[in-house]
Amino acid sequence: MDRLDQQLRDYYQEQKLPSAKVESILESGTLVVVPWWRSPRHVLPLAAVFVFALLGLGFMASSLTTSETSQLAYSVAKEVAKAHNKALAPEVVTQSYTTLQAQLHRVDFSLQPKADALAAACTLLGGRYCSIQGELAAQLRLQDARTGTLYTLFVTKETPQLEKLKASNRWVEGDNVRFWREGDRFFALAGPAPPPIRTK
Amino acid sequence: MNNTADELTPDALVQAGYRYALSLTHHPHDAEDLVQQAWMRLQHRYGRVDNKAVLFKAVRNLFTDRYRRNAIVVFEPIEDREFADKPVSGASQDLDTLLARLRSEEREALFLNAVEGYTAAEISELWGQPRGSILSLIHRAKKKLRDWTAQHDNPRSSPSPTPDDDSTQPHHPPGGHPHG
Repeated sequence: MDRLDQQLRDYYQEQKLPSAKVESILESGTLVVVPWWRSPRHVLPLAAVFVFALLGLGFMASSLTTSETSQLAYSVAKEVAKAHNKALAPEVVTQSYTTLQAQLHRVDFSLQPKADALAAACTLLGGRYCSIQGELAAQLRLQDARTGTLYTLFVTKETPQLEKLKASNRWVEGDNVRFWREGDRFFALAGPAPPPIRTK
Repeated sequence: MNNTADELTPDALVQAGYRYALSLTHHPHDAEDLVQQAWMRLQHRYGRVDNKAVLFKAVRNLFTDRYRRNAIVVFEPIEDREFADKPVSGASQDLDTLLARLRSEEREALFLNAVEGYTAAEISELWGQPRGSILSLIHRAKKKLRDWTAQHDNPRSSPSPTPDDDSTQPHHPPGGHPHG
């Protein structure tokens, strides 16, 4: 072994920190001040707050969407109910859907609902042009042959806005309004009592 | 490499880190501060300190950042003639004084090689420098110490600086290094 190496080894082995200072260093290591953003004690609550905030925002967005849809449904139902209550006389008086379709030539969609039970229960009295939410529509006057109850059926083409409305049944302005769709057509039936929900 | 730190207790690790820091700074207070900061940094990052090599690296990084960058310690080579004019006294103090005259790189290389048992290859890997440069550095440092010791033992002998004393000139030991 190199004598100088041994001297160096002896020299450095003699160099020692007092035990008190060693303890101090060891303790200082355990008392490290962790930045608050790296401390689990703070990060976990923050993460929880963040997640809840996200959930809250999602819920609010969902609520807003639901609320908008609900508003639209109410608006359409109210429009339909008002038109029903006006009881405007049909421009085309006929019991034939074929005749009515021919007379209301501006509409390029079928006016006849395919709900056979409804069609069987109600007799067509006539129809006229109208609009729903600014879209061209046909307003048909129907009568329940068994009870004599008058209904107003609105038919229009599906629009992006009306697509948001689900099939439903609601009371507006004292009338019952029922929505449904058949293919690319949107139907709304207004009357004093909920008509039977029958589909093909 | 004598860095089987898994066998070292925390106390021994701190002492080893301190000695290494001392080889860098050759100043007890600075060394203590260095090892404390390194320990805290590692504790902060990993939650524990149980590896001597990692501790040494942290100490070295801190030293580099703090001292070399801020030029707190001047690493200019010490001229042999200047040192030869200064008296030294006491064997233990002699080595301490002689080591103080060395550049920090020389002290560090000597410490790692002679005390910690690092080979030149390991030091070169640690420092990112060629192994030959490490061998040359260790050789020059030892030669300086021997020459200075000889001058101290025989103060009337004329200090005859050799090319090895000029640290700017590379030196390649003919027989290599016992540890390298």
